[in-house]
Amino acid sequence: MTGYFELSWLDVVISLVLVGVLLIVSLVQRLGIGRGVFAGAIRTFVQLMLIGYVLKFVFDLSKWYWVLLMLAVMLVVAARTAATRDECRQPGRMRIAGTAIVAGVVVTMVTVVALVIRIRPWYLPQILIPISGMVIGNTMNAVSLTTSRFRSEMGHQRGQVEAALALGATSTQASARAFRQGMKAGLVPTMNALMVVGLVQLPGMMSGQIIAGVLSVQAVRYQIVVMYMIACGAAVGSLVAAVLVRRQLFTQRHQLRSEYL
Amino acid sequence: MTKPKLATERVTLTRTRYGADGSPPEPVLCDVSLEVAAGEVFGIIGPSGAGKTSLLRLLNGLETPDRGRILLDGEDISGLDTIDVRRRVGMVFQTPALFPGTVGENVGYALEIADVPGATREAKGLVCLDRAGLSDDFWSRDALELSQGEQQRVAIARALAAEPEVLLLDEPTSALDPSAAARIVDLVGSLRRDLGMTIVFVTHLMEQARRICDRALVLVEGRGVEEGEVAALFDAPSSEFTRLFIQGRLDGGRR
Repeated sequence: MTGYFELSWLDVVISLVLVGVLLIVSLVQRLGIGRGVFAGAIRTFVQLMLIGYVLKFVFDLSKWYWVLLMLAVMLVVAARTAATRDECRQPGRMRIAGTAIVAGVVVTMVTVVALVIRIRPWYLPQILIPISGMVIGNTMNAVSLTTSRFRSEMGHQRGQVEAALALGATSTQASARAFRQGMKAGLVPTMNALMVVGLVQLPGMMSGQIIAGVLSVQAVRYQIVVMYMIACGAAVGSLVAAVLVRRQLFTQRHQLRSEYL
Repeated sequence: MTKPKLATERVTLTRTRYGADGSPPEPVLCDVSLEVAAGEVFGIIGPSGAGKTSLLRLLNGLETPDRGRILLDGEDISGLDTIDVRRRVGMVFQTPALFPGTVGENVGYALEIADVPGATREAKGLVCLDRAGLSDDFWSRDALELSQGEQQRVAIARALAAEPEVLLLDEPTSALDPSAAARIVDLVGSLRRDLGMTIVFVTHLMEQARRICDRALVLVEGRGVEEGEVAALFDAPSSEFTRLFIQGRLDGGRR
């Protein structure tokens, strides 16, 4: 037997004391987020319970279509989250976020399943779902940071962008600086994660195995691969998002569509 | 008039965006026609909000009219390559909109856009600076630390980099003190005189229009009310709008 301390439901309920601290702080400081604290605590509880059952169901059946459906739901939720964070209220942001996240995740997962992990069957849910989840989450952050920064830079630099267009620059040339700033903003958190991983925060995948008492050289290897995967997902997602936003911001005739800023 | 260098035929432009107060889109320009002859300084004059800037943006292809045509040397620009049109029709904005960096980088960027090879960029750029009335010393100076008047000259030098046939100037003196404004006006005159450029000059200052423009269009609330020789417009305006506008401005200037 390993040093694995089981949690009972009662233990989980007791841990609500911790949320109570957050509630008290928010009430004393009148932050006006009391309802959010309640909703957050309840959602955490319900969502994780449900996802536990759903995962067990998908693992037990181990059918490719259930796995893909599950991944599709994760992608839709990620796209919606990234789209709502985009301050631009124009149509098309859901499509942009969704396309960028799917591109980043598919490129990464296909590469890894084909070349690195080589699981059989390819849809083995115990591996595919948790790893995809990590890539989806990180790509989502990169995409939403990229789109919002790119748009806001284009707003700030609007005069310069139009001056460049008026000189005969293409939309790609005129928006080049804001494009780079947007992509950089989207990739910096991932770069930082690669730098400090393990030094400040132990990644979730390793933490889980440590707590379950089965930390192995395998877990470390997996974690290294996962870190490289989130880097790839973020890179592809950020690039696709920036290209799609740029396409949205200009007409075919290299005119700035300021209503999309 | 012989074949005009640049012309618009009844162009109409409607804002696609709703107003800040939620008002529905309304035409910014309605059926505006004008003809600019090669080598002349053509004024677009009118009160603020008349659509002068929008008209200029159409001429450079920054916006496309909903109706009507824009002709460059008799050819409809909607059938030409937009990038090519913008190289032939340069534009200087009301604010200089310089890029962060040195003056040389600003002019160099425009030369790069115009496909001028890197090795000859500095020599060509210095010629552009000279034409805009700036000495070689300005080349390595920080563009955003220059005075407003100097920045506007850099913007003009930058617009000259592509060797445009037509130069559009959108109230280039509005942010300048009177002496800097007068020097920009002199510069516009010399561009026409020395380079034979065709110039479209937007202004709401009647004295300025009278001094440098050969002919002008009076624009009021998105409609062209009168087009003709500047002297005739001022001495014998045929429309009531022009008369009131000119007098109002002239009186204002004397006060």
